[in-house]
Amino acid sequence: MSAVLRVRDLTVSFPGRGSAGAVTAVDGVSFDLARGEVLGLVGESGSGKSTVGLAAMGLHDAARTRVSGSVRVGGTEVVGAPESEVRALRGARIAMVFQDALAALSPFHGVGEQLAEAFRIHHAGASRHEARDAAVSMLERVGIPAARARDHPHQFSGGMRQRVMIAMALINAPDVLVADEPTTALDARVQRQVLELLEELRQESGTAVVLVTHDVGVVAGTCDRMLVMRGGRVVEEGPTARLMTAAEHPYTRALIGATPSMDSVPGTRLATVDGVPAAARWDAPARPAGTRTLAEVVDLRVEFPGRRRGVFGRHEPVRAVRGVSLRVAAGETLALVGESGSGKSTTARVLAGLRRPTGGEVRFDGRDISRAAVDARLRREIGREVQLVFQDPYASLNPRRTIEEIVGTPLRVHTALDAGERRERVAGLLRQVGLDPAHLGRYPHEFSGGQRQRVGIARALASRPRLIIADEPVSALDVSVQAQVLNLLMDLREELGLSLLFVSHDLAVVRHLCDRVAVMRAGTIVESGPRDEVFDDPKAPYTRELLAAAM
Amino acid sequence: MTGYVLRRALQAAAVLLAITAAAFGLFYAAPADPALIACGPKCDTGQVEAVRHSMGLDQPLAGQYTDYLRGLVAGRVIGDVDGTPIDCPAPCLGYSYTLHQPVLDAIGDRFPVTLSLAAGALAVILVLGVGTGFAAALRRGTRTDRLLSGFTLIGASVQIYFLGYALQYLLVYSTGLFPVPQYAPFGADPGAWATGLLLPWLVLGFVNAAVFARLARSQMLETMHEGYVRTARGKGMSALRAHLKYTARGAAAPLAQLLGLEAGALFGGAFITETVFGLGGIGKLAVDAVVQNDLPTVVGTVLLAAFFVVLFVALADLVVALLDPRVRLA
Repeated sequence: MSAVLRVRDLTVSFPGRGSAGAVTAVDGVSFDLARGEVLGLVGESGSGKSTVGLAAMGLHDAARTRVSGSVRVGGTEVVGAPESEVRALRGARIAMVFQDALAALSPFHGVGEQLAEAFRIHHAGASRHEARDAAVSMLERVGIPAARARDHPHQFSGGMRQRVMIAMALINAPDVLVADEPTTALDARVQRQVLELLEELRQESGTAVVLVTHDVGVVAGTCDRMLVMRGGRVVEEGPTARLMTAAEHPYTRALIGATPSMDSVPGTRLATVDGVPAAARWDAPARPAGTRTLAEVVDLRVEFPGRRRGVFGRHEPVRAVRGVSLRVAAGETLALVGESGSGKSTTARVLAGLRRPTGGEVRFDGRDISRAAVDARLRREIGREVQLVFQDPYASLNPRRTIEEIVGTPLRVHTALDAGERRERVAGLLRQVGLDPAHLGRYPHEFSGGQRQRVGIARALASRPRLIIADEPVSALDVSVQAQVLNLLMDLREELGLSLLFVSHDLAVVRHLCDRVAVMRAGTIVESGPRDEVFDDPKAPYTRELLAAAM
Repeated sequence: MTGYVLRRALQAAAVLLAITAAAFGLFYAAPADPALIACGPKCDTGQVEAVRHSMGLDQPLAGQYTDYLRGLVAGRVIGDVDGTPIDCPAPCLGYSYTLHQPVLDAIGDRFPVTLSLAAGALAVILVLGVGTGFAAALRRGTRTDRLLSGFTLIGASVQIYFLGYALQYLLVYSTGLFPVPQYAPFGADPGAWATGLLLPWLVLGFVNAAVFARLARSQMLETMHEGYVRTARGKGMSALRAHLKYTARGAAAPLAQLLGLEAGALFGGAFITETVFGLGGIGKLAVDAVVQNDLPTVVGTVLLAAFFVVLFVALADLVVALLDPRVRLA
């Protein structure tokens, strides 16, 4: 069996600057990829999986990276080869699909032109006309009509853009395709479509695929074989079916158990990578159904000013939320589910008092709070009771403040505690979220993503709120860290009797965590009800579609 | 697109109107008496009053202002110092009593100098500023990078009058490497036009190039790591070509905007450069007019400068929208 990609003892390190030592991103990785095979390269951020892909393409920054070992594409060595030789391989024999197609496609050129360029680079004799024809037929192959070849990437949806990316990578029929998190930024339904397309094209062309991903679920559905990486090394390797059911290495098992699936028991603790087995609370306690309404919106409408038409034209408003009614009972966890652009985050922001609704009622504890976004005093009073946890733990913490300042700010605003008492409380909060109080004086960049999200949760808890609104709080986190944060949220909810509005697109996570579910689409709620009812017996066709994609 | 141009034109008209009003108001707050100056030191009170009347300075301020605006749109007849009527067709910027000619003519006489100077200086800025910035970014961290960045920094830290006089002395008078700076109309002799302005172009361009070099360098460094540049290389394109086609385009928008502002400023006149090299352009005309209390010329040159700034800023926005299809003109 001849390997189309042969990696031997690949080591990639970034020599540090000055006192900082060298960082070894990939450490002695070896594998073979057979013609037509799909290999899953699985790992969390920092595992070196993407670096392997880039090194195979020879696309690392040569000035700042040291690469040793061997990568052979077909029979040609990539490591240490002159740039011109590697360039002849790139895009022709080995091609890459990047995670974020919006960033990876040129915003300045039409998609057809970008495909044609990829064609012409490796077909020196081809005329512009031939290149354009090749581009258009490849676009049509991935389901993009020829009429749209002149459109720019920003005019396409996320799924369509990823199709363009795939078409561009395959236009020269390469032997190897490196797909780096090709569906991570996509909604579940679209993710499924893109993966199916990739599989179809693979069967047609016989291109072997290296699928780089953190998502064990994606690997399970698509790959013949998988390679689990951690800290730059290969932890375990084998056929996907065997690893999914009977992995030998505890890390692999933890990685697989850390993602809530559509079959796991809701409310149970999730396995985490750092050796905590799925144990503790075996049977989820039946959570008492809340009856007293804590927060609600009635017939909520939110419009954004849109594009202006004509010289003195009016701004055509974009209707983000169109008549949404929902309520969160005391002690209850309500999930707001929907794909990107469905209006779920906007609804959450209104409930948090951060955005003024165009119409409808917003009440917290019976009190009208629709003016909170424009009334500083009301906003402050609401801020004590309603707190937020954000998606991106990197962007939502001020990098120039210490953890003590960050977590203590709500205390300064909402309580009369003096500095010493505040410090005491902050230390207690850190303990509560599982962080060491000795780290009070540290800055956010000294923490990992999961720890930062804990800091964000500690900040949200500081003013002892009754409602926490969490907008995709685990979407940006690695699976093992995601498990830790979900476990923490479940513990805190139990301990403090918190109400939780959980905004998410991830149905498995929602099913695991929430009591009731509201499904949003295009600014309206298409279905809402108790968790089991929505998941076991969905009424709206859209809910069924979402569930089918998540399975 | 049409909507954009119309909106921008209306905006520009409003800005220019506000500027004429401000120039008028400020000028009248000044203590000097234009009539006295126009009449000369030997005039008696009666003669000054007569001059004041024929200049229209005895009218209320609002009346003078509306007269001025009407002249701008429809033209008007102005009285000279001795009362003889002078026809001033639209766009009438008034009549200069110190230069004894309509302001528009005074500007028209000097504008080719300013136009030539500004266009050449902009070319130098583009090549020297943006060019070295791009080159430094492509060779970041190397000696070339430090050398180029340091070189442009000299320009930013040196004053035009010092550099201008020093180079003029060194290159023209003691070595004769450059011809004596002077303005020769382009139409008559393009060769003489270019050689005569070469030194002023280099000096004015060099002094203004550093900002562009620094911005170009930092923009390039930022854009270099964009995903689409990596994608281009992933297609098998060479790094240099990918940077020229994609990185440069991604880096261009802020440069175009800054260049628009710079062009607007340069077309409004470059007083110091004109003075150093003895070129009679709009800058010199404007400063002379201020010194001599020549109100119509002051307002005229201020208006012209503002017009160019507004024009080039709008053009820069248009260029940015053409460079990047995601940008919507608003």
